[in-house]
Amino acid sequence: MKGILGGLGLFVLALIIHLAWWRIRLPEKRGQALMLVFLVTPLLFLPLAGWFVFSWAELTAVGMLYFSSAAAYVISYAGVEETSPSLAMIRALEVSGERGCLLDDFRMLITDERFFLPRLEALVRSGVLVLDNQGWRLTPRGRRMAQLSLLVSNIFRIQDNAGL
Amino acid sequence: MPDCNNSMQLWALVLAPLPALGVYILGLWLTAQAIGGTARMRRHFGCCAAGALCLVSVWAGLQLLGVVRSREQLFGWMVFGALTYANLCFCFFNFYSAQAGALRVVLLKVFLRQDPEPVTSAELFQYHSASKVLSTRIEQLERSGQMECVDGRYILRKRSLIWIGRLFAMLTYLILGRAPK
Repeated sequence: MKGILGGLGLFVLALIIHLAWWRIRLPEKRGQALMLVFLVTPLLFLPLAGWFVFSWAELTAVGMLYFSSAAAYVISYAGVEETSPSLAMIRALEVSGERGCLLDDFRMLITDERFFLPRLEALVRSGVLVLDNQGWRLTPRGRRMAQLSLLVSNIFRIQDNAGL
Repeated sequence: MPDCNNSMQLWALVLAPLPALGVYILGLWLTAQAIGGTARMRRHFGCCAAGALCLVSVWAGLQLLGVVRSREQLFGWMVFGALTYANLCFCFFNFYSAQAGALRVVLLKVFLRQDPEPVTSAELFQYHSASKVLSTRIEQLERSGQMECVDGRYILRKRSLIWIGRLFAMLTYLILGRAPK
């Protein structure tokens, strides 16, 4: 069981460091800071592995459990930073109760300013898009990401359904 | 982590979640070729279950070979394998879903279609805007039975997404110290 405890223990430790950092001062580039926390935490505690007498196979198991948990958390973290339009609509429906919502209520909720522009700005902030005098343009990094995304979509025959 | 009799077989226990994930991904690919279209939840569940079956087969096989010394050890490996496999499936499911529905990813594809030419704000908002996002989300939520339109008013029908919303609201309070935007 020590491998399970090791993997989950490390993950909880990284979560505590992440939470403490975010509550003390919010990092500017939060995505990168989050990756840093989850990559550095196991390195800090690697010397302790010898103390727990882990074999290579056990260390691999600890790593697999830790990194898979960390990846699942990092993916979920996007939902903490930005609310998805569907969840915002469900929240509005919950608040309205039996009365329900009119289409106009949703129109006031799902606006370009609240959902569309922040995504564009986030893409610019993360170095994927640039906005110049002529308009929006992909950076080389953005182009690679878009091509990868297109490749995956073609392999699995995924159709866009985000409303774009 | 529980010990077992042979280091080769120990590695089989450690790496068992990977072929299980492979079965999940392969299942999605095969069904995409056979049926086509974006996989919905049921197809994901089916392929994920096939992967889980692969994981259980590895455990059963190694138990039959007498690799794992005790039931406690097997239980330990099962917990490790199940947690790791669940995490990997969650990651792949979200990666897959993002290709279809995440605004940012779909925006990237929009820009790629016109690349290397720039997309002006006017062009972008002419075809892609929050109102289009709204109509698609309404259609999705109605199709999945989350809400229903009665006499021009949308009424909540299922509560599953409410719990997900509450979980994220709680996490936002905890991590960022503010209400969700």
